Amino acid sequence: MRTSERWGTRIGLVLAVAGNAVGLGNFLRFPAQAAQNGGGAFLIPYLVSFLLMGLPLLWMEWAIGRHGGQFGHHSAPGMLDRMGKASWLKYLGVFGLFTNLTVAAYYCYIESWALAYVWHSLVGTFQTTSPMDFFPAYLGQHAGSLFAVPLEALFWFLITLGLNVLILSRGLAGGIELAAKIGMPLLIGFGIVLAIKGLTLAPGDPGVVESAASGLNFVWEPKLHSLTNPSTWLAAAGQVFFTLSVGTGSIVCYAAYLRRDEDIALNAASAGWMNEFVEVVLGSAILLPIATAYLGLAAVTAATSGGSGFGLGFLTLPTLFNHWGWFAPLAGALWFGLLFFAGITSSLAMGQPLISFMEDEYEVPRKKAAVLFGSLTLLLGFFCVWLYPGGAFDEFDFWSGTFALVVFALGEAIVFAWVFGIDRGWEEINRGADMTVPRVFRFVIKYVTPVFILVVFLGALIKPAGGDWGAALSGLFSGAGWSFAPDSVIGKVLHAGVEEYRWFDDNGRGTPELVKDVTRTLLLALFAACTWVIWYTWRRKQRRSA
Amino acid sequence: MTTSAWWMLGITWTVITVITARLFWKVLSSQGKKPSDD
Repeated sequence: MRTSERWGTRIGLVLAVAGNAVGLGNFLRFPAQAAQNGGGAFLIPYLVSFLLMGLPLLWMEWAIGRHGGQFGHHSAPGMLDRMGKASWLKYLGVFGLFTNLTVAAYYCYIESWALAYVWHSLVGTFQTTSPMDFFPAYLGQHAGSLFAVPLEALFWFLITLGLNVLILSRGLAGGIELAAKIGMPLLIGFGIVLAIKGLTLAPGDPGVVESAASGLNFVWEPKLHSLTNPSTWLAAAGQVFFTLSVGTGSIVCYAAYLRRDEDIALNAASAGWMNEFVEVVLGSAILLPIATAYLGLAAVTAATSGGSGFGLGFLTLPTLFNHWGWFAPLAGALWFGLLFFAGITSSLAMGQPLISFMEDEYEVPRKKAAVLFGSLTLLLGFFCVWLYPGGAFDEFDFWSGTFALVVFALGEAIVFAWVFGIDRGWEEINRGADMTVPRVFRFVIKYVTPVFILVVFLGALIKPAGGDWGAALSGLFSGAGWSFAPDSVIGKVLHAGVEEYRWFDDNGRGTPELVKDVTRTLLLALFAACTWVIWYTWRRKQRRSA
Repeated sequence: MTTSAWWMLGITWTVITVITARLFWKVLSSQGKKPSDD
């Protein structure tokens, strides 16, 4: 087993982990979630969730990773196997491979959109073509078709994958760390420039219909009554969970390249808080203020009603930048460059655990492992690209990028606090620590965090239709039953909200339900394959040591 | 912007920026030693 590879510098490691956490959601999802779930009041459950679930989970994952690394394991199956005596522990680690492989497939595709938009901003495409027309054509979407073979999108996807493979093949210090050291400062710099430019927009400037401060007010005006709504708390906990990249198997992997007595407490806290800075400070100061200035508050409220700012970010903002004269192409490049850096520092973290697994267990050289990761991602990514109009992409995002993360994090928290044991766990977190972790977190890690994740899990499992928990509960107690939301786990399984569930229409053409079921079957098969690989790997090891 | 929005933004941004800067300063101040030097 290879154990020689290490991080080059401490700041590089912290930036790499922060870069892993900082993703497109910091700029596109957070402001929309905050604005739609209580405004400034959203920050109360958000910060409570960060302190009681996010930060403890970060400490746990760093501790699991560094502990596993001492035994030569740099990916989840091996390190979880070392958390206790039970043989099933390594199978929990399957999530740490499956999630990274399947999420990378569609995440790299989104990342490639940002790269393509940098190019199109610089060459002035959006000065003559509306992104509303550009984007569907770019994705190869045609009305009524479930398939797409978009040549330009595939070209940028290949370039993006190539960049990921190239950086990953250069190793931790020379690749991932260097990318984070360049990407993160640039990302923050781009964000500050755009925030200053956006927040100084005022009526009287060309095209401005409302002060940018109205957009900021939309995000920050505290609607305290929303705190009594469980949806607000679940939305906040969900946002914290997904913004930190916990439950993916990537943080444990990064931490596994630390030595036994190196600090993890301060490193984990710094990376976590840096993500919060980018999300809460920069994330709330760009998209919604600029969009509000040019479109007005009513239009922005409608555009973010689904809790996502994706449409505003990719379909609206490029047009709005046109009001900025000579600065327009540069502003577009800064905005999409920022999204690209946010994306690539995250996708690199998805590749590393798979590379580590191949290196540790099969002694595959790093370059070859990076190419293998790229090839698998391309194969799965092509499936997402091809069936994007049919909904394959959304299925990947839900089952791999949402559901699997929560299940894995719940498993990790229980294993860490109750199987490995809180005494050993607490000692692991504090060994070599450059900061004092308040003792109350011992209690939090043992009891509060697992319960917190369980609540997030149950919230995702049985979310009621319309998202109104109060009405759903009173309906349940009055005998009206429980109506599952189409985006709840059970709702997905039962195809809730689908008018007529069938695979083929009257003309014998496939329906989106067919694409969903095919995608789910593929994901299940991949999970089974990952499980088999773990079983085979350990059997092989047993035979070799016998 | 309303006064309550200003307060919420001001307090949150200040708390997050100060904590992040302090933690980062601690990391930077130990920058001289490589993790692998331990």
